[in-house]
Amino acid sequence: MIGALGQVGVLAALAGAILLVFEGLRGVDARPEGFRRGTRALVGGAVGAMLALELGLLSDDFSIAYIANNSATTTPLVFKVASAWAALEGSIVLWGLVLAGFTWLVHRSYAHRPDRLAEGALAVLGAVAVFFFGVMATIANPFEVCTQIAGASCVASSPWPWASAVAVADGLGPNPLLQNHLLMAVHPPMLYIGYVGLTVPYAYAMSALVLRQPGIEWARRTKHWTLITWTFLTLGILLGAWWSYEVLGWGGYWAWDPVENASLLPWLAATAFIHSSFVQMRRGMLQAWNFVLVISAFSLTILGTFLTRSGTIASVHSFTQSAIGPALLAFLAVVLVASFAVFALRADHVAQSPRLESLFSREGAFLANNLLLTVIAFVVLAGTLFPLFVEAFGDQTVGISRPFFDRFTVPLGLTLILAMGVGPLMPYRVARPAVVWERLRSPVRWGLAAGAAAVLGGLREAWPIITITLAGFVASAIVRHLIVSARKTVGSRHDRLGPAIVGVLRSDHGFWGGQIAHLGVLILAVGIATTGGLSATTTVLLERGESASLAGYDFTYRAGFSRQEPNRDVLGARIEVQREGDFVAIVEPRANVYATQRVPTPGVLSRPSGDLYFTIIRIGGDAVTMDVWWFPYQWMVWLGGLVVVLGGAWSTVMRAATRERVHA
Amino acid sequence: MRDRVRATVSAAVTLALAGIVVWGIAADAPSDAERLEDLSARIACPVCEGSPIGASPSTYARDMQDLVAEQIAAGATDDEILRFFSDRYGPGIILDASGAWVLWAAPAVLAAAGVWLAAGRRRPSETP
Repeated sequence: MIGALGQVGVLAALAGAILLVFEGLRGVDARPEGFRRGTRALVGGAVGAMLALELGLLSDDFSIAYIANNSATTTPLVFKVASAWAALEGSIVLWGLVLAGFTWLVHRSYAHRPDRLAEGALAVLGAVAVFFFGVMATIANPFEVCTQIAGASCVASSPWPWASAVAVADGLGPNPLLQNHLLMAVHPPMLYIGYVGLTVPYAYAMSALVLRQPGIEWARRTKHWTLITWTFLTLGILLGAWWSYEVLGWGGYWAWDPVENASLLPWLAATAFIHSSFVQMRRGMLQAWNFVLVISAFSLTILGTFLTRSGTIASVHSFTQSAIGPALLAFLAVVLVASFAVFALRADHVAQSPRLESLFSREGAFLANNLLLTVIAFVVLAGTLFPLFVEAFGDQTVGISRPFFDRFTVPLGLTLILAMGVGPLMPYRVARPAVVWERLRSPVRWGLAAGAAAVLGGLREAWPIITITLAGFVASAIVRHLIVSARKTVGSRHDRLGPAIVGVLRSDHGFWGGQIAHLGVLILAVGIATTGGLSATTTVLLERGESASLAGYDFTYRAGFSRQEPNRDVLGARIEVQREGDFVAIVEPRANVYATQRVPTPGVLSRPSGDLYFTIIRIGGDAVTMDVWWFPYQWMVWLGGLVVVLGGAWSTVMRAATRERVHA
Repeated sequence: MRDRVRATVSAAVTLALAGIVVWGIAADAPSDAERLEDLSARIACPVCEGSPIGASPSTYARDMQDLVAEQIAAGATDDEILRFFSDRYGPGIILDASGAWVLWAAPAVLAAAGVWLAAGRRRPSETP
């Protein structure tokens, strides 16, 4: 019954999506009524499908194959809800829902005015939705009826709702990795909003090309939408890193895993576009390049979905394998060929950019930023795909992991940070070296002071010293710029410096949102450098009462404990941490034993100077074997990431507030 | 006069700070333990699905780590140690893909092309 409801939802959404495409193809004869109906059907159908899936999960309807295999009566409530995106078929329902939501927002954003650019974008959004809801209706149907069971799982299913259903008794439950931490309920939706949201800039790009309107209006709207989705994408990646740190217990937050790379690639392309769109809006330059970036960002999300959801790459994220792999690959090929064909057909209409007057200018700095981001993206893409190609077409395997990525991204990233300090201080068109040096002098000194302070504090590691020096330089450049701008308004618009600073941050929110994000990147970079360059690790075997030490902390294995929970058995170790003889805390790393798999939950002691991180390798009898890590200033990674998100949110929210004031 | 003194002092301070930073960077000589950690991240464990020997708890990986430590103690350079392992197990064992020169050359070519394109965008002052 619930399954049939879900199927109706999927079909209604598919019909709505087809209607949007059909209406778009009518060109000048398109009727607003058609777009409204199409959007309504798409949104209603997508919401209905998701509701049906959640209803089925919450009511343990194991006659639906997906629910039998990905949820269980013993699954805690929040993970039942999250099971909707715990495996392939369900995650595509979430994808479709987010896409429908963005379609609704685009439709609402132009509502009652005739707006061919937005109508064209709706048609493109519809075309993408046709693919995803088409997949749901055929090869990855989340509502298939279970027709045969073996043991605890459903092994055969039928798409016909009237097929005679059999149901397992308790359900298999979600993958243990996915029911081990609350973040699993939050990380995927955030990431999907960011990921799927990049369809909107792409839809506007295609619409602008087809309608021959590649001007300022396209760039303005696309930047706005990109910024919103970029903020969510950043948050999603950050939450994913946090999940990896808190759940996987391998001792880190970023492993250059192919699927992590899959989320980073569109982020890099979107970041590059947000920067280069400024150049188009201010100087009318880089039009063609901006189209390439937006098309690339969207294509990379499809590539990322393919990598994550086809099981092509064996990694912690590739939980699934099915016929969807070839379908996604074909869709990616269609997107690439169609997009660049349209781009080539309209090349005459993409304006010839005015030429750059000098590389030593704001435009030059933006170009440097784009070049660096593109090269980083290329390195990440090559490092991710190269092993696949070698494996597919060669007779040997090639291993690519952290050392390869680090060797490129660390120097490129630090150069990017240098450009981040210099760029915003450069005037447009042509910069006079004397003027730029005048603005740079004091930040350079502050940067060197920060680096020297670190060295005098005992730091002798090259990359962290360089990172701290550069971060000090850029941070003081940003703060100096802010104070100088605020002082100009003291006396005229504001009495004191405090309100003047807030006033400046609010008035040019696009620029200052960017600068806030830059500050976040600096904090993040220092965190990455200290946790990577100054970490320490050891593996210990402790009998009860025995102690070991790391990074000035002594820790003692006090006792083991175990408890039974409905969905798992928990084994844990009680570790007492001391510093110089003083009690600090009790840490409890655990090993959670699920029906199918053992998943560690690391015990983390977070202090201002760093994190002490315990993972159980083996526990039994009166002894425990653990990996122990020391990550100096780990909090800077999380804080930095949050400040980057805050910067994106500042630009978006302040823009909305300003528009409301203007319209009121 | 006072300005000259101030400029001189501030230049001297800047130089001194720069000196300290450069000295700190130059003083970064990796210890044997750091080299072992670094190399252990770059050599794959052949029996555990491509994860580096530093991250694998298997006996095989631990034995290989001991071998690396021995060679470091014997005074071998990083390159010599990596070559020792790639000769024995094939180039795939080295995780930074240093054998795959395409992968190393491509980003450099891309960067060079980008710089060339950007420089070409500059308007030569004599053309209208």
